Amino acid sequence: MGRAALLLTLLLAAPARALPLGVSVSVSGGLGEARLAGPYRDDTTIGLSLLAGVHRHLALRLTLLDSFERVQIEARLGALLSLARAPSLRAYLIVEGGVVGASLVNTLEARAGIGVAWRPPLGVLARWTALYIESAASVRFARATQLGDTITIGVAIVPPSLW
Amino acid sequence: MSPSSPRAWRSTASVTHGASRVVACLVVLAAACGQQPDDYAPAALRTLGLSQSLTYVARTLVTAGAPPLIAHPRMGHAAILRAGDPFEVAWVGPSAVASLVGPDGVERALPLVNPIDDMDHVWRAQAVAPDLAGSHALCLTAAQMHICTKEALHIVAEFHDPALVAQVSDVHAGDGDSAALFGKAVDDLNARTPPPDLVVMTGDCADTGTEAQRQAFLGELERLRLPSLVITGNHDYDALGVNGYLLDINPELELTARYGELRFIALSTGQDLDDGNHPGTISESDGPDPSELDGLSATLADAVPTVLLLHHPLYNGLFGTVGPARDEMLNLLNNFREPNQPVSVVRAVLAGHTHYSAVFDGDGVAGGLSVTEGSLPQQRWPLHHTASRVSRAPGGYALLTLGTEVVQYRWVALPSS
Repeated sequence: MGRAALLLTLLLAAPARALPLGVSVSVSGGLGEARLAGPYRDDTTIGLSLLAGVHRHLALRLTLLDSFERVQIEARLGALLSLARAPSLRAYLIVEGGVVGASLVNTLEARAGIGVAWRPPLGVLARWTALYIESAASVRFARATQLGDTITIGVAIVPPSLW
Repeated sequence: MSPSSPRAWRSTASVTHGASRVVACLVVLAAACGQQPDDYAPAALRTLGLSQSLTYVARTLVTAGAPPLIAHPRMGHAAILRAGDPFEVAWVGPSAVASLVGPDGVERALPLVNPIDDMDHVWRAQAVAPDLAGSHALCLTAAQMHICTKEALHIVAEFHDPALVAQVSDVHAGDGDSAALFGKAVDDLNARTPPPDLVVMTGDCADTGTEAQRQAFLGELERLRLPSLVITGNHDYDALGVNGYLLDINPELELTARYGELRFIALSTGQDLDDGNHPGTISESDGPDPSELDGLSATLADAVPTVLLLHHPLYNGLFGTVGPARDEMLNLLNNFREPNQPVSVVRAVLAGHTHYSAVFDGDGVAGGLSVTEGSLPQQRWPLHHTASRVSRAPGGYALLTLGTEVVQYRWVALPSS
């Protein structure tokens, strides 16, 4: 475990000097509302993200998501803006835009929300591991506008300078 | 296929024959799928319009002296009637007399009322359903030629509302053991209790559209002891173009059929009839064409509860499979609502093509809907249901409960053994 952590550290540390990079895996779910459907439980999805720190307070995030319940992929690109910091906590603002697999050509999504990342005391991994929880409101523009609110939990491997 | 091909004029019972390669086309995109003919449909058919395929067959494919080619009903295109119900028989060829072979094996004359030749050797006549319940073969005799179609009429004591409808899609006969897996589905459907009232097949019967594949498909279909409707998919044309399909499977590319209070409309999106650019498009189909939209609009105006059958889904979890006319089609479907009620005239749109199951409501919203089983509330009609491939092991089919008040769906997976 220690060697693996060291290897991971070395892999991420090198590019981090140029542009801090990180990855994360998340699971999300929530509620939605649409014209015909009314309120509904939205799918549980899994997401894989690549993060890049472009400023001390700003990171870009590219996320690919797929539903556990059906074939429906989504790609999101957005920004995470630091709001507050503590030694092992960070609160941030999320602004993202996405393209949703259902009717790919004309289903777009805009999201905004807040998140909190926490670096747990995990020994050598502590500096590189963050658990996070996010809540975001979304609007999907397709034939019918869909509103939604999503809770996301995830784990990220990120250098200290990024998150 | 040559118009004079003897297989088209088979004079024994059951005219028949048979239907792989697909999502690969979506995934690998059109470049890898560019081996099809430049155009899937002959100019003469494009000029006439899809709904006039029977006239195209009569003008272009039928030779003088050939036995009549039954259009409605025909293999894969059954009429479900009660005793005494009127129905129409249409055929291409010479003047003919008709008979029915009932479930008791006895052949009885079927008087045809007022047969009319529309000058293109497309004959239409009225008839009355016999009072013997069960499956009937329809036979036509012209001169010394005799042709019969099994499962042409299905006489029922009463219509069920809601109806139990099985949807089978994307057999792709010719692709490995696909025909055998379709055969398993046929066995399962034949043994199901209660039996489905109707089986609909949403295209891609053959993998590359060769005669052998069509024969393999129809060989299994012939064992189905339930009335069925079959529509085309893009793979049904690959090898031989649309002519082979019209002569072997069904000379009508599009159809309207009734089951009691429920109407089924099948529109062909299986080929790119508009511009012949199928290989170059992600969407795979430009359809529906203007004539289809006009026809659909006129038909839906009477507010009869309708189920629409397409090969290409209008909503899709990954790529659009229908081109620019998709939104026009969706607007049309959403605009026909029952008087003074927020209920769509169209209960369901059943499709295939993508090889994975998907469920959407009338707005294209999948949220809150299980893929495998569920009931769609009336305010969300029509159900857009895309069926996975029947012949992707272990295979399966959709079982839908469709009626004036109910829209439900369920995926039936076949045993893996």
